[in-house]
Amino acid sequence: MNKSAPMTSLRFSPQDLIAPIKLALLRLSPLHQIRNPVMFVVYVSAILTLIDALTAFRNTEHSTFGFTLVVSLILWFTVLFANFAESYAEGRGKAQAASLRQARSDIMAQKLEDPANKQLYQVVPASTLRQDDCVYVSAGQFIPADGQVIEGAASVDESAITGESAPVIRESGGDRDAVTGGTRVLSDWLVIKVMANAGESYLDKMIAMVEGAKRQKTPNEIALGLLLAAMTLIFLLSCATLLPFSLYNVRQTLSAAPPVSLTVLIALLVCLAPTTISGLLSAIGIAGMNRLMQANVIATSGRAVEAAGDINVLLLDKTGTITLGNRQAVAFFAAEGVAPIQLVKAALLSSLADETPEGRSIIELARMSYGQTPPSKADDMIFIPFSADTRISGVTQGDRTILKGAGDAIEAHILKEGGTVPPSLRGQIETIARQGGTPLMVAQGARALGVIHLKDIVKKGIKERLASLRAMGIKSVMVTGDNPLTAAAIAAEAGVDDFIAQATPETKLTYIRKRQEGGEMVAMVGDGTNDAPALAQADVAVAMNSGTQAAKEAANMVDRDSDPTKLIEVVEIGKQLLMTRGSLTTFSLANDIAKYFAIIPAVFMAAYPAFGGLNIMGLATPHSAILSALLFNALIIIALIPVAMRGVAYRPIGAGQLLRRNLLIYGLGGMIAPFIGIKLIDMAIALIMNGVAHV
Amino acid sequence: MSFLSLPFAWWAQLALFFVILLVAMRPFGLYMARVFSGERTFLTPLMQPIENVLYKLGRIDPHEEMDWKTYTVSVLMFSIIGGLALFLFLLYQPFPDISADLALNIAASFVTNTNWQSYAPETTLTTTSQMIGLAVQNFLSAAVGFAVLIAFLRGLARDSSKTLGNFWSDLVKGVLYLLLPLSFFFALFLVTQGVVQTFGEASVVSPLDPTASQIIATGPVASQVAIKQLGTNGGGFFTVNAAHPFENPTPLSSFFQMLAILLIPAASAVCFGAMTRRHGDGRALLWAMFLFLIPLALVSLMAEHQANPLLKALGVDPALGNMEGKEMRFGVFGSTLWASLTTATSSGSTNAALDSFMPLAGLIPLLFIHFGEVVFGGIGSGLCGLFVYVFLTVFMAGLMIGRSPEYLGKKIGIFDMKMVSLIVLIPAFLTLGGTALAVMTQAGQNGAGNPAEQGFSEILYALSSASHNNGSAFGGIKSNTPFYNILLGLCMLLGRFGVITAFLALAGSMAAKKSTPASAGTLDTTSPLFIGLLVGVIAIISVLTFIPALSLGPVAAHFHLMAAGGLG
Repeated sequence: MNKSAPMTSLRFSPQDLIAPIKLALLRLSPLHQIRNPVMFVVYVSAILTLIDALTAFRNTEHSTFGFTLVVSLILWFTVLFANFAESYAEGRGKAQAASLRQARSDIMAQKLEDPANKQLYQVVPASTLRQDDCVYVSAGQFIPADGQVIEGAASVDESAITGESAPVIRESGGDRDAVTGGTRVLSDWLVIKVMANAGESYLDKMIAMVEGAKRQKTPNEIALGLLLAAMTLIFLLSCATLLPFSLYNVRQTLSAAPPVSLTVLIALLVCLAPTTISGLLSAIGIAGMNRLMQANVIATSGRAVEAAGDINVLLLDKTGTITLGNRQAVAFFAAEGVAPIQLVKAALLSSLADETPEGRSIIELARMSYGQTPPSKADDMIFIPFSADTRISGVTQGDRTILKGAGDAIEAHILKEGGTVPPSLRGQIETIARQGGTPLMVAQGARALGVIHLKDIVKKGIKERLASLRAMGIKSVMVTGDNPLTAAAIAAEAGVDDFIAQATPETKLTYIRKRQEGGEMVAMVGDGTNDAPALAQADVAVAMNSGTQAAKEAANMVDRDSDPTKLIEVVEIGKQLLMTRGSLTTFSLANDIAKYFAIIPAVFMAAYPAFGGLNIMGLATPHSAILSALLFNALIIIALIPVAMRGVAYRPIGAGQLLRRNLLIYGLGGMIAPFIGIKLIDMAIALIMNGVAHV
Repeated sequence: MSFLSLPFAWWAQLALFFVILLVAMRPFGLYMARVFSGERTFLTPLMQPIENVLYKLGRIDPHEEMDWKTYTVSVLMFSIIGGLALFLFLLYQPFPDISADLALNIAASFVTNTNWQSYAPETTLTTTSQMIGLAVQNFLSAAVGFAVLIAFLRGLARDSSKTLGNFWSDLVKGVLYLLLPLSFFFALFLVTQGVVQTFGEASVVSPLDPTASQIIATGPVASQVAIKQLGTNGGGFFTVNAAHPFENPTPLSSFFQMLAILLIPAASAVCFGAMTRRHGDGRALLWAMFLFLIPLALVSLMAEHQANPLLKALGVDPALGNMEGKEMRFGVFGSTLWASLTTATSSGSTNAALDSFMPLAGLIPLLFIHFGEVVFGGIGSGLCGLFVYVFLTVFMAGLMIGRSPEYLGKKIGIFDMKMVSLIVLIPAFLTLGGTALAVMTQAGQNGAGNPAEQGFSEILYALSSASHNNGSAFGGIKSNTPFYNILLGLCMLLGRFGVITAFLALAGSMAAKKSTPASAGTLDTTSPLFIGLLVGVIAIISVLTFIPALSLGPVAAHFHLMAAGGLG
């Protein structure tokens, strides 16, 4: 499913079954059974028939004893099978969670006993770190957790989080003391006080979600549970009242046939009750979380996973998600009266010290298109670094100053120097902006040389992924700090449905609220601290593992692969969860038709031989018919465990198609399958009975 | 036995019937939507002054919005007071032989729009009590049912709203703009057909034997028959209901009474489409209802088309089909279709003896009742009940396409499923539990008018009819006993007001929800696939619930009869 899935083998081995079977037996306690009302009815039925069988044994009614005992045994197995489905899914989930822990512990931390003594440390897995622990990190090591520098200063590579490859300085005291887990110390050393439990809380919550007994049920699951309980109540009603009806009938018709027995009524009830789905309900929920972990996503609530299946709007960051993180230079446009080569040379010179990807792409373009190799840095070159304030960078060599930067910033500089920007150049700047590019003006002193067209490169394949979102009914919204003109152009190129330009934390929040007021469910993927408010507001919020702690806290899922389009998989998992429940409920109910055809003739044939006409399966005897139906009912739980674990596949083919498909498989299939299954079991029973009779 | 064997004249009448219904329901539905949205209609100049006087008398502000709890309390208070008044009125009416349990049963029956009648009206009640007591409740109970539907539709139509409208205003509008004018014109039509309408004394005539005399009861029949059909009440002026020549004298009066039964329930679906601006969804519900009504009516017609094998063996001419218990002027067609229509809706009026139907044809009315009175159903309550099944269907279908279930953009939550479960459970519990109680007690067993399976069918039918507020009787049962009067009375009251409370709670919950705009992932609730699924859900749930009971009643009787008649 996902290339980055944990390496644990999910292949079947008999050894894996022992623990779940033990757990299934342990969970026969009434305290556990009462949690699932439908299975509790089966549980009580099993006890009642057992008592019935024992009574028959004491009264030496041997034929009744045998039949009732077998019925009781099948009922006990039905309960056990349901328990097993849950404990099996749980076992898988725990194995998965353990492997996640393993992965996390790949980072080792040097934990200090005493923050004052850096020499005395203990090497522990990062996952065991707790808040307020202190760790010592030296050059070349990864910072194991989010924290605060309490001693030392070091250059830290935070490119994994910020995308900025230039190292930053982190030091104790002042406002540069915050460090993020997963970043790397390049030089020197730091003593860090851990601020949070290293994302451990996420894992704990996730593990709680794969434990049957602790699992929080989602609203959808509770509603379905209610419906199943109500149906069971109805069937309980129609089976329980059949006893007085039958007694009345026998008395009225003076029939020699005995009234319907308690064992038969219980068999009818258990067959009709939606035991298949109820037995698998817990396993389905756990398996959904397992699939999520396989996709390397950690969620804090099952509710958010299911909500993912309902989202209408998805907010995506432009940079890094829709476009490659960096813009690239694609063309030079020289101003009137400037030779193109002059512009290229100037641009090259000004970018020599520019280590940003944009700067490098200018050098690359000059080499590729104009055959210019960058001159080597000379001692007399004084580089002017880019600052967010001036939005200008450049170089001064002797009396020559070359500057490049945002159009309006350079223009202001030129005007100050007493020059002008030719109108044709200004037109060019506008054209580039309209195409979604970033115009970078180059000036020498007071003279404008031309512009460089920097372009956002839309990621390969993003258009297709967005299209598949649209097919699911999810609109994509691009969030960008660019101006509306640029944003519109990129939005059109990438095929997003809408965009938020010049986005600030407030505009993002307002946008989400507005959508939610319109009744839509909004999902958001984010990584920065300034995404946190919007993440907290969104119905489904996925934080990148590389993101800041604030973003992770605000989100309800963390993607350990930091893949912004992972949400598509989360949506699929959410939908699969619901679809599996819905499809198996349909299957469970559709089965009842065949079961009626097996049991109704068996119940009434003694009094009304004509009911034999309804025995369209040609089942051997009333007893074998009832046993076959019950056995089918129990075995189908085991048979469907793989479906529960795998989930019903989701395809973005539109709601109508999907419904038709699932109705055909689980509705029509659910009607037909038991006819075949019950008949086969009945044939087997008849064979055995014959064998017994011959012996 | 096949559909093709039915006479051409039957097909022609069926076609004519449904064409008229389809043409007539649309303008009525749109008109109803206008009335309850507070828009002006052609009747406004006439009715507005009356409305204002009523509001002033009742000190009611018709524009005051009620939340679901207030609305429910108003419905319940109004019905309790109305029922109590009717009970006391009946108890102290001049006819002496009305027992307290009978008065309770009648009051419960009419205040719940059931109109189960365990007594002979023409000899038990005075003309005054029929008019002031029963006819008034015929209007009011129907208007209450309709008001509940209107509140429900508002719940579906509104977005993030706490309120459902004003009960008093809905009640008054239902009577003044809908039931009263329709009944007026329908009564006039009935009079042209020979239905009596008089305050004169009953005639005393001497039939063939001059020494004997016979009292021929008359009264203001036409006015009462009109509302009994239009309001899906079904309670007759005479014991034999619509089989009586003064209630239903001609085939034409029979034909139009059948139309009157279906008119408002069918138009309600159009009204729903108009009020929520989802005409497609309204049409989808109509499709689902017709998909039940027409095939089952046909099966029933087929079963009656053949003569009873036992009578055939005695030398009775089988050409007319099974004529036992039927009026010659309606014939098999007019009687059998009537039985389907009045059980599909919760009217329950009858023009033939259901217990003389062939067992399969007797099963069909029971099935219609067991569907929960949602195939057209009672005025107002029928469509509400259908929405409950729609919710069940979208719940299953929504899960199957991987979406939290929603209808008209509103998500179906935990509370909604609780109410849906209650609405399905209450009538099932009353029917099956009540029948069990009846067959276990001597008092209950004594009611069965026939032996064996037939007797069981009669008891099951009575409990089904009362619990689902239908009111039709299988016949045969002797139900004017304290046991049945009280048991059936309770079933009617709980079946009506328990369910109405849950309907309104559901409506309140729906109104409060935000409507999500549709997208490619949204379930289309107007597609043939969805309609088919809805039909399947209704059929499966009701059949699964009642099959064990039905097996011992009509199904066993069918096998019994077929065995006796040599048909296998």
